[in-house]
Parts: sequence; structure tokens; C-alpha cells
Amino acid sequence: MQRHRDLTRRELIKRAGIAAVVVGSQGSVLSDRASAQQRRGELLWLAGDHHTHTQYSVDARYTVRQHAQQAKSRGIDWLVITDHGRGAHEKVSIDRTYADVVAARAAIPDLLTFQGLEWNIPGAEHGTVFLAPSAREAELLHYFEKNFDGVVVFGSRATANDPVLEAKARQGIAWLASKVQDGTARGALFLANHPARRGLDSPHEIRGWNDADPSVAIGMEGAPGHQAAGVARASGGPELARGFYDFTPQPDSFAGYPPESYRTFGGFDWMTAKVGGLWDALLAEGRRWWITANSDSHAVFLDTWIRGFGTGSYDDPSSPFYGRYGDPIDTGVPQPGNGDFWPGAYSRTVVGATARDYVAVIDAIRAGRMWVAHGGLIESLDLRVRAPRDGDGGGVTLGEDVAIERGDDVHLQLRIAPARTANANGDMPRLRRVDVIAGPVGAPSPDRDIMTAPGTAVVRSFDVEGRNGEITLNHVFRDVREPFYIRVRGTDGNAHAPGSIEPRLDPVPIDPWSDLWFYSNPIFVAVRR
Amino acid sequence: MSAAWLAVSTPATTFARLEHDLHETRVPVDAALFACTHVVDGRGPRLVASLRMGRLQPEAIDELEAKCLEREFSAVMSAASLLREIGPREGCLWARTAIERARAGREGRAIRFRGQAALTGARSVAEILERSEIARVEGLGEPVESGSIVITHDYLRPVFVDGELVLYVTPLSSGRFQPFESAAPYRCCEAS
Repeated sequence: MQRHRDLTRRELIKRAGIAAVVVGSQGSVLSDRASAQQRRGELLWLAGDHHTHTQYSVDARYTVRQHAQQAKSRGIDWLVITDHGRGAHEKVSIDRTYADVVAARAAIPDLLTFQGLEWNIPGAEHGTVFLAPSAREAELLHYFEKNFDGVVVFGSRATANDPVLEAKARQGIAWLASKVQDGTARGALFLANHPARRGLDSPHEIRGWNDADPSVAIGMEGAPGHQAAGVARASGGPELARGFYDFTPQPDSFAGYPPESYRTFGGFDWMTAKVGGLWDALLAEGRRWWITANSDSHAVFLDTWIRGFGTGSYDDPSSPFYGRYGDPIDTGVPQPGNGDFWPGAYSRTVVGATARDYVAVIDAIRAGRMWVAHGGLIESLDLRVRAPRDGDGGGVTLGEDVAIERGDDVHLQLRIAPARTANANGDMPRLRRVDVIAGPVGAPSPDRDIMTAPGTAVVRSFDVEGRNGEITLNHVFRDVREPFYIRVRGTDGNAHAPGSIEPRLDPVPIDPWSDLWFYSNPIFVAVRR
Repeated sequence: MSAAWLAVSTPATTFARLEHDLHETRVPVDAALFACTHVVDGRGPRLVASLRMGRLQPEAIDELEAKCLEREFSAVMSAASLLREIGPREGCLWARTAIERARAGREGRAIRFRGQAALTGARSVAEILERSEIARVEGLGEPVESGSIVITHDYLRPVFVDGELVLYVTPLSSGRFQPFESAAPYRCCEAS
């Protein structure tokens, strides 16, 4: 991993040639110019997971400490605990979780453990909400859940197609932003989780969240968790759809989504996996909307632990197990039917941070300096785009933009380190193909439910079969006249849609280790007028 | 041929819940010639079931009336010489809308259709088309051929697409297919 290039802060500053550095309490507040310079230098690529559940979720079991230890042992650098919003959780679970998170931070200091919430977005799906640690983080989360969680506020109508609920979601995002602006929180993010699973996140809602505050509502899961959900029952899995994406349209679903959008493609959500689909439609209007990949870990495939005491009492205020379960119990025997992985075991979101601290990780996610991979398909990815006339030899990287003169060439260089060690399944994945995807950026359509980007396509595919060591791939976009964006994806090449190079709609059952993809976030190219 | 129509509106927010409500209220779905669920726009979407019946039995009507009043469901019955509305007015409005749509036969999700009972176990696409009202079987992600096998799980819920009753199916790793709609989808974040 590039994160092994673990530079000290002093080295970072020296390399970037920064004269004036303002150091905040977490040591990451650099001037804009300095951080721009630093981005061109060495970044710390930190792997993380922003979607995990503990004994404080109505449908989960593990302790915060277990997740933190498991994550750390799998090379995870940052982790967000996101238990489900719910009445009992709002009443009693936040403070308990906070105590456990503080203890985990103390016990495992080199793992950045955030406390978050899996928000029932009013009128829609779930989303991760989290804040940078502060003296008031639990208080802020508590206020947010009480006032903006769909289930807490609207009960059984939580996902209703109702403008009042949709407005409440935007208000929640704006409230988070206001807490950052007034200095109460040092950073807050919202990302939509498993967005296409039930068709609840309509295109106009996604645009509405991003517009409510583009520094807080910044993206979605490109790939959902529960990646072992498709494993055959004979092998101990649930044998349901990959990602537990086995839903069909319901009254609250957006009627414009096609039936195939309810399934995963190569493990990825349809919004992300479909080239020229919804994600591309958002990028094609210049939105900075990023993707991640997480475990959504509730119950780990072939794990030996079962839920502790309290089943049936989670919602009972008179129970000692109100809003929680007792610590899980190790049976010593692998339990069948679990569909998840530990954080870091299968899905990784790797962010380019300027420092190993909480605010820097939030900043990197917000900036879109992220790529995601399944099954350890690649170890590192460095995508650079530069316009030679710009005089910037280093180029810009993921989430950034570069401005060129009309007619300039744009050079893309992609350096990838393929897997060098076996993944958590004991396999050595082999990268076989890398695709460069590009699409024009233009004015947004007045139709807020647009979900296609017809100009976006795979513009180049590289066959990298059999290549060992670091792979460097170059591509030149000649005589560029219009603004556009570039993103890349790659695969082990094991599974495709019939007659194409696109990912396949995942069949049931499926071994998730047999069909691996990575995706990068985009780089934008602007044309000076 | 005169047909009798029955439509029932409940507070259900999912199709599964609506079908459960129909079962509990003893709505005669199994006796229907054709039955569909519809999403009708009220203040937010509302769910209604419509049933085309050979005839409406007076006893069944009385029983349904009692059950609907007890649960605050709405029902509309419409036949040549009969129009009865039961329960909250708003729900009756949605139920009437559903009957209009059902008469047009271009929209809805079928829960009872001709040939349904025969399509148990594993069936070829050709057999499904021949034995039932389903006009088309469409493979999501992978095209089907007439010899493709669908493991029906004894649960088929075809939907109207462009006026045709279409059964969507998804691929199994065995090369066979299963219906897109599952009788028991994953229960996310529920107490257990």
C-alpha cells in the first residue's frame, strides 16, 4: 500500500516547502496554498470503512472494540461506527457507544475510530453521518438523530414519498453544515448507503442532498456491504442476492428506476456500475459526488460469535437491554447464514490524506481523493491528469480539477500496484483489465430526475494480463475543446455481462472472491474560455 | 360478459403487507379470475388491490364489509346491478381508481392470473407462456430463451409493462433463472 510511505509530518512539510504552517489541535490545518502543494507531493493513502454496526443496532451484535480490533488487524486506518437510527437508539445508545468509541481510541490509538450514525434519511434509504471528534460529538449526533432521523421522527412513514420528508432530509444536511460553519464541529459528512437497493433514493433527492450542502453531502456507496450475501448455503452463506440486493419496486420507490437497478453488478450498486448511468449523470453536470465501498458489517460470514442477551427486548424501555444487546458470545462453531465481512476483509475505501488524523480523513473524503476495491484486487492506485502547457508536471489527482486552454492535450497517467499478497480469502487476485471512462461536463438539465449521461463511455481498455510489479498506463486526450471528466475502473476479468466488458448482473449464488473490481473517483478537466 | 369488480385499499406501504391484509380480511383472491395490486397517487402513493370476479357471493360481501369496517379498510364492489362502497371515503376513491385501471388492463402487479396455479417448481419459459396469461418472460442481466428454466419458488408476480403481462427473472449461477420478485426478501434492520 502507498500508506506504507508513512512520512512524518516534518518530512511532509519539508517536501512541500511550506514556510508558514498553521497547526490546529489535530495538527492538520494548513493554509490552502500549502495543502494544494502538499497534495501534489506525498499523500498518506489510508484505508477505511464508513459503515459498520455493533450491539447498539437492532439487527447486529459486535462490540465497538471487536470491530476496531478486526479492522486494525486487516490494515484499516479509519473506521466509522454507524448504528441504525431508531427510537431506543436515540434515547440510550449514543452515549454508550460514545464511551466505547472513546475507549477504543485509547486502546488502539493508531486506528482512527469515528462515531457516526446510520441515518434513516427521511423519504429515502440509509446514509452514513459522522463528525470529526470533539467534546460535543455525541451531543451533536444525538440532536441530529432526534430531529432528523426518518424512523425517529416519522415512524412507519420513514421512507414515504412525501415532500415534507424530503425537505426534512435537506434540513438535516444543512444543520450539520451549520455546526461546521459555527465551529461546533470540525467536519461533518453524509454519504448515501446502498442507494439503489430499494429504489428509494430518487435522482432528485440525491441532487437535493448535494445542493443542501455540497461540503457535507458528498457521495454514496459505489458498492454496498454484505458482499458475502450471495454465498451458497452449502458453503455457509445466505444464498441471497449479493449485497442483500433482493428487493423489487415498492410504492415508495422512484418509479423511473428500471428493474435491474435493484440488483448489484460485479458487487457494485447500479448507480455506479452502469457506465453513463446515474453516477455519470451527476458527474456530467459537474457535481462533486464521490463513491465509497464498505462492509456494512452486522454478522460476519462463518463467524463463530452469536448475539448476546437481549433478543426481543431492544425496543422495550423496561428491559436492561433497551437499545442494545449484551456482548456477543463465542460458540466456537462457524455460524451459517451470515452475509458480511469484517471491515477491511473485502471492501476498502482508500483515501489520500495529508495527515493521519480525523480531520484530514474527513477532508480527503470530502475532496474525493478516494478509490475503492474489492478482495484486495490492487494495493495502490495513483491517477494523475495533467495538461503539459499548464506547467504542472505533477498533475492533479482524484477528486481534483485541472484547467486547460482550448485545444490542449490532456495526459492521463495511471500507476497501479497489483496485489502482492494473498487477500483475506487466501487468494492472490490478478488484475486483468483497466478501463478509462470519460464523459463531457455540461450544464445541468432542468429535469432533476435525469439519470443518464449518454456522452460517457469507456474510451480505452488496457489489457494488463500477466503484468507483474507496478503497472504504468498512459492515455492522451488530444485537442480537448470541451470540459470533461475521467475516471478508471479495473477487474480481474472473471465475469462480464453477455457479450460486453461491462460488469455482470450478479447471479445467485455467487462467490464474491470470484468477481473483483476497483473503481476510482473522477478528475475534472475544465477548459478556459 | 359482465364482470364483477372488487377493490380494497388498506394502509399498507409495501406489497407484501397489502397481500397480508387481503389474506387477513379474507378477500377472495383465490376465487378471482384476475387480481392485481396498484399504486394510486393520493397524498403520497396508496396501495390498492383489484379483483375481477366471476360473481360476488352475497355472504362473502357481508363478511368483507364487516372485516373492512373493523380494520378501517376501504372496499368498492362494482357489478352490473351493484355499486357498494365500504369504509373511509378517501380509500373508496382510490379503490374506484384502481378498478378503472384494472378495467383498462394496462397497469399493475398481478397476484392472481390464469395459469398461475400450474406454474410450480421448475418451468421452461415456453411452458410459462403457454400455460398462463404471462405474455413475456424477460431476463434481467441475461436474456432468456424459450427453453430457459425458471425456478418459480411457487411465487410469481408478473407486472404490466406497455400493456403486456411480463415476468421478470434474474439469473442463477446454474444457468437457470428465478423470479425477480422474492416472496421473502431480506429483512433489513428489523428487530429479531
